[in-house]
Parts: sequence; C-alpha cells; structure tokens
Amino acid sequence: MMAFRTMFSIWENRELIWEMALRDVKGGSKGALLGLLWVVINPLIQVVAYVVIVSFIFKAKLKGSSGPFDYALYVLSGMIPWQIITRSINEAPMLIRSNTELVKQVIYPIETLPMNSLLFGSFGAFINFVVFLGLLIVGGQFHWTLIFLPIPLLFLWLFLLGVSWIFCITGVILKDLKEIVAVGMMLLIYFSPVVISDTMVGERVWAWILLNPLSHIIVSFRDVFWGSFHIWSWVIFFGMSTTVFLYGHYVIHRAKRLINEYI
Amino acid sequence: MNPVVISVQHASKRFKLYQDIVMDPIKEHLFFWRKEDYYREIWAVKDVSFEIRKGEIVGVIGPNGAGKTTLLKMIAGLLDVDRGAIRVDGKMTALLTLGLGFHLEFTGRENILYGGMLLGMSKKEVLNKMPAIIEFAEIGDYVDRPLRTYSSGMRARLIFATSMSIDPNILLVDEALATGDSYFVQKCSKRIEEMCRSGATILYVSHNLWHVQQLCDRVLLIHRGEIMGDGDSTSVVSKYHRLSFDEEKKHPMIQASPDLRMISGTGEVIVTDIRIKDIHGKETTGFHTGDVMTIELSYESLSPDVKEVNLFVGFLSCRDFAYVGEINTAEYIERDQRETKSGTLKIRRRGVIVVTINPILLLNNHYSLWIILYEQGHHYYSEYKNVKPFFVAKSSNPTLKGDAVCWLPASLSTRDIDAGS
Repeated sequence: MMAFRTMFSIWENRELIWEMALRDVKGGSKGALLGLLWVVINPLIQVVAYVVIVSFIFKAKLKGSSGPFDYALYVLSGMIPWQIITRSINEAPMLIRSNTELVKQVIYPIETLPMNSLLFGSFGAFINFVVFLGLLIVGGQFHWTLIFLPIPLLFLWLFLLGVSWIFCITGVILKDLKEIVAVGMMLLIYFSPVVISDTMVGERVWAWILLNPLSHIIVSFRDVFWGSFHIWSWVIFFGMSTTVFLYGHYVIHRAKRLINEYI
Repeated sequence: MNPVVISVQHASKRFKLYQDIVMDPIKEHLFFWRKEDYYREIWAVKDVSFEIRKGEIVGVIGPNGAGKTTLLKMIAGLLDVDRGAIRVDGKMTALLTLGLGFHLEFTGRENILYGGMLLGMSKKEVLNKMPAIIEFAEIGDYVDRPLRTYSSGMRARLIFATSMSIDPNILLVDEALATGDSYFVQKCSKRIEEMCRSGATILYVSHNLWHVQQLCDRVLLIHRGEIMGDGDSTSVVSKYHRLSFDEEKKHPMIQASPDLRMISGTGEVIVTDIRIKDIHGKETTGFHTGDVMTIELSYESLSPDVKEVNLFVGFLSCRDFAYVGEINTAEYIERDQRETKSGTLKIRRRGVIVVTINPILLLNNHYSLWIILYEQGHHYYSEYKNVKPFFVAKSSNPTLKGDAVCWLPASLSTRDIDAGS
C-alpha cells in the first residue's frame, strides 16, 4: 500500500522531475557540441565495437549461418535495456551525495531523484529502439510480440527505482560504492547476454551467465523483440523487480529522514 | 482564538555520534545487544512542547548549538522525531538556505523558475509570479542574462525575491534574512509582515535579537535543547540576555590561553599573576557594562632598585581579535582628575600594580588582555597577549542596532528653542 503512495509521489512531482531533467540537459550540454545526443551515440558505438571485435576479430558465429548484421541486431536488442540499466545503476550511488543541498534543505521528495537518470537512459534507449526497429524492418525480422514491450519496460523501471533507492542511500555511507558499481557494471556486460549468445558459448558457460540476475532482464527483453519465450527468466525478472522495488521503497522511507543526520 | 497549526508535544531528538561513520553503524546493528558501545548519544532537543496558532509570528532565539535549527528541521520533516510528536496543519515552506537550485549559466528567468519550483511551487505558479519577482528584485533587463554576469548584490536580490515570492500557510525561516544589504532586509521584513497579514504563520529562527523583537510577537528561548522561555518578545529577549551572561561567565573565551606565557621582552620585569576583580574585590570573569573592574598584576623585577616602568593594557575582542581599548601609562585619562596624564609607575622587587576601570564601557563580547611592561623608547620588559579572558554583557536592554564596541560617557540635556525668538 505504501509503495503505491511512493509511485503517487513520483506522479505528483512529475512537473518537478521533468523541469529538473530539462535543467540538467540545459546545464550539462550547453558547452558540449552534441549535448543530449551522447546518450544515443554512446551505446551505438559500443554496439559497433562489439560487432567488430566479436564478428571480425574473433570470428565467432551465431546460430550457424547468421552474419555480422544479425549479430549487430542481437547486440543492439540487448543494449537497449542495458543502457537504461547502466545509466541508472551507475548514477545511483551519487544521487544523494551530489544533491546534498536539495536533500538537506527543502522538503525535497528524494524518492524522485532516480527518475532523472531513468528518464535519460530511457530517452537514449528509445532513440536506439527506433534505430533498431528500422533495422528490423529492413532485415524483415519484425515480430508481433513487440506490442508487449511496455510490460518488461515497466518492470525494469520498478527494478531500477528499487536499486537506485538502495544504492543512493548506501552511497551516502559507503563512499566507495560508486567505484565498486562502476567496475561491476563494466564487468557484468561480459557476463550477460548483451554481447554473448547461447550459441557462442557452451551450455555450462551459459548457465554461469544466467547466474547474473541482470541476464534475465536482457533475456526477457529479447523474448519480446524476437518472439521467443523463456518462462524462468520472466519469473525471475518479475520476482526480482517486485522484491527489489518493495525493499528499495522500504529503505528509502526508513532512511529519508535519517540521511539528514549523515550529510 | 485561531486554530493551532503547529503542535509540538514532548518532542526530543537524539543524535548518535559515531567514531567511525562507516563501520560503527554497521556494527551497531550487527552487535545490537551492545549497540551502546558504538556511539555517543546527544540529545539535541529535549522534551520540547509548544503550540503555534494560525497567524502568529514566533521567533526562536538561543545560543549557538542550542538546538534551534534541529527543532526547525524536525518541524520541517527533515529530521525524525525520536520521542514525542510534531503535528503540522497546512502547506509548509522552509527557507533553510537561500539560493537553492540557482545556476550561474542560467538566466535570471530560468533561475527564478527552478528556484521557485524547488521551494515547492508549481511551474504555473512561478510563471504567474514572475513579473512580481522581477520587480521585487529590482534587476531590470538583467533578468534575461545569465546569472554569472550579475553583481553579487543583484544575485542576492534575485535569490531573496524568489524565496520571498512564496505564499505558504506556514513559513519556517532560518537565519535567511541575516544576509543582504539593510535596504533589502527591510523590504523582506515588510514582505514577511505582509504574509502574516494574509494569515500565514511564521516561525523565525535568528541570532539577530533586534530583528526578532521587531518582527515577532512571541519568542521562544531555547537553551541546551530545552525551552527556557516562551512569551512576549521583550521579556524573553531580556531573559536571553541574563541567561547568556551567566552562561558566558562560566566559559569565558575558550581561545584565550589560561597560562601566562611571555611572548616577547627582556624579562627584566615579569608578570607573575593577573587577577580580575569586581567591585567587591572578588575574582570574576563576567561583568556588566558600567561595572567597576579591577585588574591586579603581580610583578617581579630582577633589579632590587626602584625602577620606572610603563604599563600598557590592551583589550582584545575575542570574536576577531580586534584591538578595542587601551590603557597606557604613556598617555591615559586619569578618571578622578578627568584629564589626560602621562607618567610611569614606580616598582620595586616584587609587588602589585592595580588598574581600576570605573566604569567599564565595553559592550557585549568576550575580551582578553594584552599586557606589556616597557621602558619608554620601545624596550619591552615583557609582553603577554590574549590572557585572562573575561566577558562583558549589557545588563538590560539591547542596543537598537548591531554591534557597537563601547558606550561613551555623556551628559544629556535638552534645550528649548522658543518659537518667537
């Protein structure tokens, strides 16, 4: 019940969240040449890099006949949820610490802090999704299951809100968290299905990869993109999202006032 | 009678002080059966109860670290209440710092928008108030230029104007008005009065007693986390003066060194002890302005013969080590003869020099002494600086304005001028 109230608070403060995001865009990108475009370009360059490394340098093969174009689509479809995930999780530990003024002085709804990175990540992902859609149509691989996309997206947001809440509170006390998370996320991409497919590695390695909880998010998103279905990934994804969201919510509500004694 | 809008019932706030801010909180929860080992408890606010009714302007005063800001933050909902309860009815805005969300690269207009929204207004509300804010800030065409091109005065005005544009039901202000030029402070005070007339309730924390008396009908005095006074501003402010006198007398100037250490000089004549006494000859460290103060300096001289020495006694204000007064045998006012004199003191091997100051005219502050025994021609026998701390407080009413250094002795009279002549 309380969790709904938090969601309501985010809805209630939507105008503030939006203006603050715009403020960041204006403030952050005024000097930068490409500004907001970096959110889009960065993952695309990563996709190109992985395709070059995996297909051309290591000459790894996806399902028998498929070439670099299919692999590019494969990586891109994983990169879309992944870029939302990395953005949120990487920024989470510093959320409170870089906004101490806000948290300290006004009755600022700190539960809305993660929304900023969530919006940015999702914006980039959306543009890349449009690119991806174009490529799908060109490649003739369009799947009707795409209409279910809002479902995993919603759960991904819940998951990331929860994680961000937990990390932003932890980050106040544990100052190293930012570095730990940065290194962790950099490594996790190689232990996730973003760049690796089950046909590239043996079953045992794949089983290891599935131990990474984030893998199930990627697998679920791919199910929607490619019309496959991995029930256990969905179950784990949903279960994990709900748990993390509720726990994060519990943490942020307990800590909201306590945090003022720390910073 | 107006309804109660802020009700504080037996509220207490505990801070846990950890030695190790990372490990100790974790250990505290891990080894919960002996969690007291990992922190020191400090009760910043102790069992505070009061009620504030709609339309009241209540000032909160008290010495530094008394718990004023903690209390305000508890009311604002920024800090948890550990015991007791705080209830607030109505839309509340807290001005705990000014200038939140202001960015140098943005124009005045953009800054007003973000600053206003961070104070809890909606975008529409801010946009509606924009013209009024710009007018209040008196920045004219600059409003469309980036904040970094503003002078510091203009920045301050813009920030003030934005903060003052809110119309809350309940407003919490912490020291925010203390800065800015006096013209603008006046303007803001006027705005606060205006808010009150429109039915707002205001809780105002300040060190500026003059301001509090001007603005508030009711004042709360907080000391060491407890409410020591609650009533009309004049009586509570004078209670605060009494309290701070007793308090500061107990802890005179921590910065001043307690021991007599010679910092320069030949050492031919040294001071062995300094005593500061009141009119009854009792050693004390606190005076009221107008009291008689006696400084007794015990000295020892190396030569057995009579020696003529000069004495200098300087008074240093402890706040900024400003040098605010002096008594110098080379030139001083002999009180009883009411004339400027100069001369030396004749001393022998061992004895006491008595300096009587009647009355002491210094005002509210901590002071320390700067003592030099010297021979005419700037040859120091011994010099001591920042010794023997004491405190002077005004006995009753505060001065109208700011921080004067001293009273001036005067004779006052009036003379009529006839209309005809």
